[in-house]
Amino acid sequence: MSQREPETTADREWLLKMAEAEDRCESISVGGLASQLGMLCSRGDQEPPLVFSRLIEWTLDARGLSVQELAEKGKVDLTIREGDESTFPTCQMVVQLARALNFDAEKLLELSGVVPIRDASLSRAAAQFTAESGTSGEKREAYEQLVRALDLPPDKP
Amino acid sequence: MTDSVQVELILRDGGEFIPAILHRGLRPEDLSLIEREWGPARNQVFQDLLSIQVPRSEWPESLHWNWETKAPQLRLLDSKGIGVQCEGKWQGAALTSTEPHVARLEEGRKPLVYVDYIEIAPRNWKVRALGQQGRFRGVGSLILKEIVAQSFEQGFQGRVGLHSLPQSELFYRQVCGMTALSRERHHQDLLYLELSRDGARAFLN
Repeated sequence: MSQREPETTADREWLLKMAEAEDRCESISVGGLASQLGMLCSRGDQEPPLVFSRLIEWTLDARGLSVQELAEKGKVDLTIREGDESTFPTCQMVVQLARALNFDAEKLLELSGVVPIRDASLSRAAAQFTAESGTSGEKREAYEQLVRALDLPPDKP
Repeated sequence: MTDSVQVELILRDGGEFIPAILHRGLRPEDLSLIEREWGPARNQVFQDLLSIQVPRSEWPESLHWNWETKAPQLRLLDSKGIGVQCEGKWQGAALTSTEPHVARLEEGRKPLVYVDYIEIAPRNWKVRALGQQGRFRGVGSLILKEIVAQSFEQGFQGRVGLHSLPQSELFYRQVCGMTALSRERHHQDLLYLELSRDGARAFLN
Protein backbone atom coordinates (compact mmCIF):
# COMPACT_ATOMS: atom_id res chain seq x y z
CA MET A 1 0.00 0.00 0.00
CA SER A 2 1.28 3.49 -0.85
CA GLN A 3 2.26 5.74 1.99
CA ARG A 4 -0.03 8.70 2.29
CA GLU A 5 -0.45 11.26 5.00
CA PRO A 6 -3.04 10.24 7.57
CA GLU A 7 -6.44 11.78 7.09
CA THR A 8 -6.32 15.36 8.31
CA THR A 9 -9.01 17.35 10.03
CA ALA A 10 -9.63 19.09 6.71
CA ASP A 11 -10.10 15.73 4.96
CA ARG A 12 -12.58 14.66 7.60
CA GLU A 13 -14.45 17.95 7.47
CA TRP A 14 -14.67 17.70 3.68
CA LEU A 15 -15.95 14.12 3.84
CA LEU A 16 -18.49 14.98 6.52
CA LYS A 17 -19.76 17.96 4.52
CA MET A 18 -20.04 15.85 1.37
CA ALA A 19 -21.66 12.93 3.18
CA GLU A 20 -24.34 15.25 4.49
CA ALA A 21 -25.01 16.55 0.99
CA GLU A 22 -24.89 13.01 -0.41
CA ASP A 23 -27.50 11.96 2.15
CA ARG A 24 -29.94 14.44 0.64
CA CYS A 25 -29.67 12.67 -2.73
CA GLU A 26 -31.24 9.41 -3.72
CA SER A 27 -28.28 7.81 -5.47
CA ILE A 28 -24.87 8.46 -6.99
CA SER A 29 -24.92 5.85 -9.76
CA VAL A 30 -23.38 6.62 -13.13
CA GLY A 31 -24.88 4.77 -16.08
CA GLY A 32 -22.77 5.35 -19.22
CA LEU A 33 -21.37 1.83 -19.29
CA ALA A 34 -24.67 0.27 -18.22
CA SER A 35 -26.47 1.98 -21.09
CA GLN A 36 -23.74 0.90 -23.51
CA LEU A 37 -24.17 -2.72 -22.40
CA GLY A 38 -27.98 -2.59 -22.49
CA MET A 39 -28.40 -2.84 -18.71
CA LEU A 40 -30.76 0.07 -18.11
CA CYS A 41 -34.36 -0.67 -17.23
CA SER A 42 -36.96 -0.71 -19.97
CA ARG A 43 -39.03 2.43 -20.13
CA GLY A 44 -42.79 2.42 -19.87
CA ASP A 45 -43.25 3.82 -23.36
CA GLN A 46 -41.73 0.79 -25.03
CA GLU A 47 -43.47 -2.33 -26.21
CA PRO A 48 -43.21 -5.34 -23.93
CA PRO A 49 -41.06 -8.11 -25.35
CA LEU A 50 -42.77 -10.47 -27.76
CA VAL A 51 -41.81 -13.39 -25.55
CA PHE A 52 -44.03 -12.16 -22.71
CA SER A 53 -47.25 -11.78 -24.67
CA ARG A 54 -46.61 -15.02 -26.55
CA LEU A 55 -45.96 -16.88 -23.29
CA ILE A 56 -49.25 -15.68 -21.80
CA GLU A 57 -51.13 -16.73 -24.97
CA TRP A 58 -49.58 -20.20 -25.02
CA THR A 59 -50.13 -20.67 -21.28
CA LEU A 60 -53.80 -19.71 -21.53
CA ASP A 61 -54.15 -22.16 -24.40
CA ALA A 62 -52.28 -24.95 -22.57
CA ARG A 63 -54.36 -24.52 -19.40
CA GLY A 64 -57.67 -23.94 -21.18
CA LEU A 65 -58.13 -20.49 -19.64
CA SER A 66 -59.67 -17.38 -21.17
CA VAL A 67 -58.22 -13.90 -20.60
CA GLN A 68 -61.22 -13.13 -18.39
CA GLU A 69 -60.67 -16.26 -16.29
CA LEU A 70 -57.00 -15.36 -15.88
CA ALA A 71 -57.96 -11.83 -14.84
CA GLU A 72 -60.36 -13.21 -12.23
CA LYS A 73 -57.90 -15.83 -10.98
CA GLY A 74 -55.10 -13.30 -10.62
CA LYS A 75 -57.39 -10.46 -9.49
CA VAL A 76 -55.70 -8.40 -12.17
CA ASP A 77 -57.22 -5.87 -14.54
CA LEU A 78 -56.19 -6.92 -18.04
CA THR A 79 -58.52 -4.62 -19.96
CA ILE A 80 -56.91 -2.16 -22.33
CA ARG A 81 -58.55 1.22 -21.99
CA GLU A 82 -59.34 3.29 -25.02
CA GLY A 83 -56.75 5.97 -25.54
CA ASP A 84 -54.23 4.17 -23.31
CA GLU A 85 -51.47 3.47 -25.76
CA SER A 86 -49.09 2.02 -23.24
CA THR A 87 -49.21 -1.75 -23.39
CA PHE A 88 -46.27 -2.18 -21.05
CA PRO A 89 -47.25 -4.32 -18.04
CA THR A 90 -46.82 -2.81 -14.63
CA CYS A 91 -44.75 -4.49 -11.96
CA GLN A 92 -47.87 -5.18 -9.91
CA MET A 93 -49.67 -6.71 -12.90
CA VAL A 94 -46.77 -9.05 -13.63
CA VAL A 95 -46.54 -10.16 -10.00
CA GLN A 96 -50.28 -10.88 -9.95
CA LEU A 97 -50.03 -12.82 -13.22
CA ALA A 98 -47.12 -14.81 -11.81
CA ARG A 99 -49.20 -15.75 -8.77
CA ALA A 100 -52.18 -16.75 -10.92
CA LEU A 101 -50.05 -18.90 -13.23
CA ASN A 102 -47.78 -20.22 -10.48
CA PHE A 103 -44.68 -18.75 -12.10
CA ASP A 104 -41.66 -17.28 -10.33
CA ALA A 105 -42.48 -13.56 -10.03
CA GLU A 106 -38.89 -12.38 -10.30
CA LYS A 107 -38.29 -14.36 -13.47
CA LEU A 108 -41.60 -13.26 -15.01
CA LEU A 109 -40.65 -9.64 -14.27
CA GLU A 110 -37.43 -10.22 -16.20
CA LEU A 111 -39.29 -11.83 -19.09
CA SER A 112 -41.87 -9.03 -19.20
CA GLY A 113 -39.18 -6.42 -19.72
CA VAL A 114 -40.00 -4.66 -16.43
CA VAL A 115 -36.43 -5.45 -15.41
CA PRO A 116 -33.68 -6.73 -17.69
CA ILE A 117 -33.03 -10.46 -17.78
CA ARG A 118 -30.36 -11.48 -15.25
CA ASP A 119 -30.77 -15.24 -15.54
CA ALA A 120 -28.76 -16.65 -18.46
CA SER A 121 -30.77 -19.89 -18.71
CA LEU A 122 -34.02 -17.89 -18.82
CA SER A 123 -32.56 -15.72 -21.56
CA ARG A 124 -31.65 -18.80 -23.64
CA ALA A 125 -35.08 -20.37 -23.12
CA ALA A 126 -36.79 -17.09 -24.12
CA ALA A 127 -34.67 -16.81 -27.26
CA GLN A 128 -35.54 -20.37 -28.30
CA PHE A 129 -39.22 -19.81 -27.67
CA THR A 130 -39.36 -16.69 -29.85
CA ALA A 131 -37.20 -18.14 -32.66
CA GLU A 132 -39.12 -17.90 -35.94
CA SER A 133 -37.90 -21.22 -37.33
CA GLY A 134 -38.68 -24.69 -36.06
CA THR A 135 -41.42 -27.29 -36.34
CA SER A 136 -44.53 -27.09 -34.20
CA GLY A 137 -43.06 -29.92 -32.06
CA GLU A 138 -39.87 -27.92 -31.53
CA LYS A 139 -41.91 -24.84 -30.64
CA ARG A 140 -43.92 -26.85 -28.13
CA GLU A 141 -40.66 -28.16 -26.63
CA ALA A 142 -39.27 -24.59 -26.44
CA TYR A 143 -42.46 -23.44 -24.67
CA GLU A 144 -42.24 -26.26 -22.15
CA GLN A 145 -38.58 -25.49 -21.52
CA LEU A 146 -39.44 -21.84 -20.88
CA VAL A 147 -42.25 -22.82 -18.50
CA ARG A 148 -39.82 -25.08 -16.61
CA ALA A 149 -37.44 -22.10 -16.29
CA LEU A 150 -40.31 -20.03 -14.86
CA ASP A 151 -41.83 -22.66 -12.57
CA LEU A 152 -41.74 -21.93 -8.87
CA PRO A 153 -39.23 -24.13 -7.07
CA PRO A 154 -40.86 -26.35 -4.41
CA ASP A 155 -39.35 -24.33 -1.55
CA LYS A 156 -40.67 -21.04 -2.91
CA PRO A 157 -44.46 -21.15 -2.67
CA MET B 1 -4.39 -4.44 -7.84
CA THR B 2 -1.55 -2.06 -8.58
CA ASP B 3 -1.88 0.70 -6.03
CA SER B 4 -3.88 1.37 -2.90
CA VAL B 5 -4.06 4.08 -0.25
CA GLN B 6 -5.61 4.36 3.16
CA VAL B 7 -8.74 6.53 3.42
CA GLU B 8 -11.69 6.77 5.79
CA LEU B 9 -15.44 6.30 5.57
CA ILE B 10 -18.09 7.47 8.01
CA LEU B 11 -20.11 4.86 9.85
CA ARG B 12 -23.72 6.03 9.70
CA ASP B 13 -24.53 4.54 13.05
CA GLY B 14 -22.53 6.70 15.49
CA GLY B 15 -20.60 8.80 12.96
CA GLU B 16 -17.22 7.19 13.63
CA PHE B 17 -14.47 7.50 10.97
CA ILE B 18 -13.50 3.97 9.91
CA PRO B 19 -10.25 3.14 8.06
CA ALA B 20 -10.81 1.99 4.48
CA ILE B 21 -8.62 1.16 1.48
CA LEU B 22 -8.95 2.87 -1.86
CA HIS B 23 -7.66 0.64 -4.68
CA ARG B 24 -6.58 2.38 -7.85
CA GLY B 25 -5.75 -0.55 -10.07
CA LEU B 26 -9.11 -2.26 -10.54
CA ARG B 27 -9.66 -3.83 -13.95
CA PRO B 28 -13.11 -3.74 -15.61
CA GLU B 29 -13.42 -7.52 -15.26
CA ASP B 30 -13.00 -7.15 -11.47
CA LEU B 31 -16.56 -5.82 -11.43
CA SER B 32 -17.83 -9.35 -11.99
CA LEU B 33 -15.96 -10.43 -8.82
CA ILE B 34 -17.42 -7.50 -6.88
CA GLU B 35 -20.84 -8.52 -8.19
CA ARG B 36 -20.52 -11.89 -6.46
CA GLU B 37 -20.37 -9.95 -3.19
CA TRP B 38 -23.10 -7.45 -4.10
CA GLY B 39 -25.49 -9.80 -5.96
CA PRO B 40 -27.12 -11.43 -2.90
CA ALA B 41 -27.69 -8.00 -1.29
CA ARG B 42 -29.26 -6.69 -4.53
CA ASN B 43 -31.56 -9.71 -4.62
CA GLN B 44 -32.56 -9.19 -1.00
CA VAL B 45 -33.51 -5.56 -1.66
CA PHE B 46 -35.40 -6.68 -4.79
CA GLN B 47 -37.36 -9.32 -2.86
CA ASP B 48 -38.13 -6.91 0.00
CA LEU B 49 -39.42 -4.26 -2.41
CA LEU B 50 -41.55 -6.83 -4.22
CA SER B 51 -42.97 -8.24 -1.01
CA ILE B 52 -44.37 -4.88 0.07
CA GLN B 53 -45.33 -3.91 -3.51
CA VAL B 54 -43.22 -0.77 -3.75
CA PRO B 55 -43.85 0.88 -7.14
CA ARG B 56 -41.05 0.29 -9.61
CA SER B 57 -40.45 4.05 -9.91
CA GLU B 58 -39.16 3.97 -6.32
CA TRP B 59 -36.71 1.11 -6.80
CA PRO B 60 -32.99 1.95 -6.89
CA GLU B 61 -32.21 2.32 -10.57
CA SER B 62 -29.20 0.02 -10.45
CA LEU B 63 -31.11 -2.69 -8.58
CA HIS B 64 -31.11 -5.09 -11.53
CA TRP B 65 -27.49 -4.57 -12.64
CA ASN B 66 -25.53 -7.77 -12.79
CA TRP B 67 -21.91 -7.35 -13.86
CA GLU B 68 -21.23 -11.07 -13.70
CA THR B 69 -23.35 -11.59 -16.81
CA LYS B 70 -21.29 -8.92 -18.61
CA ALA B 71 -17.88 -10.43 -17.89
CA PRO B 72 -16.99 -11.06 -21.58
CA GLN B 73 -17.75 -7.45 -22.55
CA LEU B 74 -15.94 -6.08 -19.48
CA ARG B 75 -12.75 -7.89 -20.52
CA LEU B 76 -12.72 -5.89 -23.77
CA LEU B 77 -12.96 -2.47 -22.12
CA ASP B 78 -10.05 -0.11 -21.96
CA SER B 79 -11.04 1.49 -18.64
CA LYS B 80 -9.36 1.95 -15.28
CA GLY B 81 -11.04 1.17 -12.03
CA ILE B 82 -11.25 2.45 -8.48
CA GLY B 83 -12.67 0.48 -5.58
CA VAL B 84 -13.12 1.21 -1.89
CA GLN B 85 -12.87 -1.61 0.64
CA CYS B 86 -13.83 -1.37 4.28
CA GLU B 87 -14.43 -4.12 6.83
CA GLY B 88 -13.06 -6.48 4.16
CA LYS B 89 -15.93 -5.71 1.78
CA TRP B 90 -16.30 -3.62 -1.37
CA GLN B 91 -18.19 -0.42 -0.51
CA GLY B 92 -18.11 1.28 -3.89
CA ALA B 93 -16.47 1.11 -7.30
CA ALA B 94 -15.93 3.17 -10.45
CA LEU B 95 -14.52 2.81 -13.95
CA THR B 96 -13.04 5.68 -15.94
CA SER B 97 -11.54 6.21 -19.39
CA THR B 98 -10.03 9.09 -21.29
CA GLU B 99 -10.14 8.25 -25.02
CA PRO B 100 -12.11 9.24 -27.08
CA HIS B 101 -13.83 11.67 -24.74
CA VAL B 102 -13.22 15.41 -24.86
CA ALA B 103 -14.62 18.31 -22.87
CA ARG B 104 -17.70 20.02 -24.27
CA LEU B 105 -17.80 22.88 -21.79
CA GLU B 106 -14.57 24.37 -23.08
CA GLU B 107 -13.41 25.17 -26.59
CA GLY B 108 -10.51 23.29 -28.12
CA ARG B 109 -11.42 19.62 -27.56
CA LYS B 110 -9.64 19.49 -24.20
CA PRO B 111 -9.18 16.01 -22.70
CA LEU B 112 -11.10 14.87 -19.65
CA VAL B 113 -11.67 11.84 -17.48
CA TYR B 114 -14.92 10.18 -18.51
CA VAL B 115 -16.68 8.19 -15.79
CA ASP B 116 -18.08 5.01 -17.32
CA TYR B 117 -19.52 3.74 -14.08
CA ILE B 118 -19.92 4.52 -10.38
CA GLU B 119 -21.94 2.51 -7.95
CA ILE B 120 -21.97 1.99 -4.21
CA ALA B 121 -22.56 -1.35 -2.53
CA PRO B 122 -26.22 -2.25 -1.97
CA ARG B 123 -25.53 -2.30 1.79
CA ASN B 124 -24.82 1.45 1.55
CA TRP B 125 -27.96 2.30 -0.44
CA LYS B 126 -30.62 4.47 1.07
CA VAL B 127 -33.90 2.70 0.29
CA ARG B 128 -36.59 4.85 1.82
CA ALA B 129 -39.42 2.37 1.21
CA LEU B 130 -37.55 -0.23 3.26
CA GLY B 131 -36.26 2.14 5.91
CA GLN B 132 -32.70 1.22 4.87
CA GLN B 133 -30.20 4.02 5.52
CA GLY B 134 -26.95 2.44 4.36
CA ARG B 135 -24.00 1.40 6.52
CA PHE B 136 -21.33 3.87 5.37
CA ARG B 137 -21.66 7.51 4.35
CA GLY B 138 -19.59 9.46 1.86
CA VAL B 139 -18.57 6.57 -0.38
CA GLY B 140 -19.70 8.27 -3.60
CA SER B 141 -18.01 11.57 -2.71
CA LEU B 142 -14.77 9.80 -1.86
CA ILE B 143 -14.74 7.99 -5.21
CA LEU B 144 -15.49 11.16 -7.17
CA LYS B 145 -12.77 13.01 -5.25
CA GLU B 146 -10.28 10.38 -6.41
CA ILE B 147 -11.49 10.70 -10.02
CA VAL B 148 -11.07 14.49 -9.91
CA ALA B 149 -7.61 14.02 -8.39
CA GLN B 150 -6.70 11.65 -11.24
CA SER B 151 -7.87 14.24 -13.75
CA PHE B 152 -5.45 16.75 -12.18
CA GLU B 153 -2.65 14.14 -12.11
CA GLN B 154 -3.14 13.48 -15.82
CA GLY B 155 -2.96 17.18 -16.63
CA PHE B 156 -6.69 17.46 -17.41
CA GLN B 157 -7.14 20.19 -14.78
CA GLY B 158 -9.94 18.39 -12.98
CA ARG B 159 -12.22 18.05 -16.01
CA VAL B 160 -14.62 15.12 -15.62
CA GLY B 161 -17.65 14.02 -17.66
CA LEU B 162 -20.32 11.40 -17.00
CA HIS B 163 -23.84 10.16 -17.80
CA SER B 164 -25.91 10.19 -14.63
CA LEU B 165 -28.83 7.90 -13.83
CA PRO B 166 -31.98 10.01 -13.25
CA GLN B 167 -32.01 9.37 -9.48
CA SER B 168 -28.42 10.64 -9.24
CA GLU B 169 -28.75 13.88 -11.21
CA LEU B 170 -29.29 15.96 -8.07
CA PHE B 171 -25.99 14.72 -6.62
CA TYR B 172 -23.92 15.60 -9.66
CA ARG B 173 -25.63 18.93 -10.34
CA GLN B 174 -26.04 20.34 -6.87
CA VAL B 175 -23.55 18.55 -4.66
CA CYS B 176 -20.68 18.21 -7.14
CA GLY B 177 -21.39 21.40 -9.10
CA MET B 178 -21.35 19.70 -12.50
CA THR B 179 -22.96 21.39 -15.50
CA ALA B 180 -25.81 19.52 -17.20
CA LEU B 181 -25.25 19.60 -20.96
CA SER B 182 -27.69 17.30 -22.76
CA ARG B 183 -29.88 14.24 -22.62
CA GLU B 184 -28.56 11.77 -25.11
CA ARG B 185 -30.62 9.33 -27.12
CA HIS B 186 -27.65 7.02 -27.71
CA HIS B 187 -27.38 6.75 -23.91
CA GLN B 188 -31.09 6.09 -23.39
CA ASP B 189 -31.76 9.72 -22.54
CA LEU B 190 -29.32 9.81 -19.64
CA LEU B 191 -28.16 13.31 -18.73
CA TYR B 192 -24.55 14.14 -19.65
CA LEU B 193 -22.79 16.41 -17.14
CA GLU B 194 -19.33 17.89 -16.94
CA LEU B 195 -17.14 19.24 -14.19
CA SER B 196 -15.12 22.25 -15.35
CA ARG B 197 -11.67 23.30 -14.14
CA ASP B 198 -13.20 25.84 -11.77
CA GLY B 199 -15.87 23.37 -10.72
CA ALA B 200 -13.21 20.81 -9.87
CA ARG B 201 -11.38 23.22 -7.58
CA ALA B 202 -14.63 24.16 -5.87
CA PHE B 203 -15.56 20.50 -5.45
CA LEU B 204 -12.30 19.69 -3.68
CA ASN B 205 -12.60 22.61 -1.24
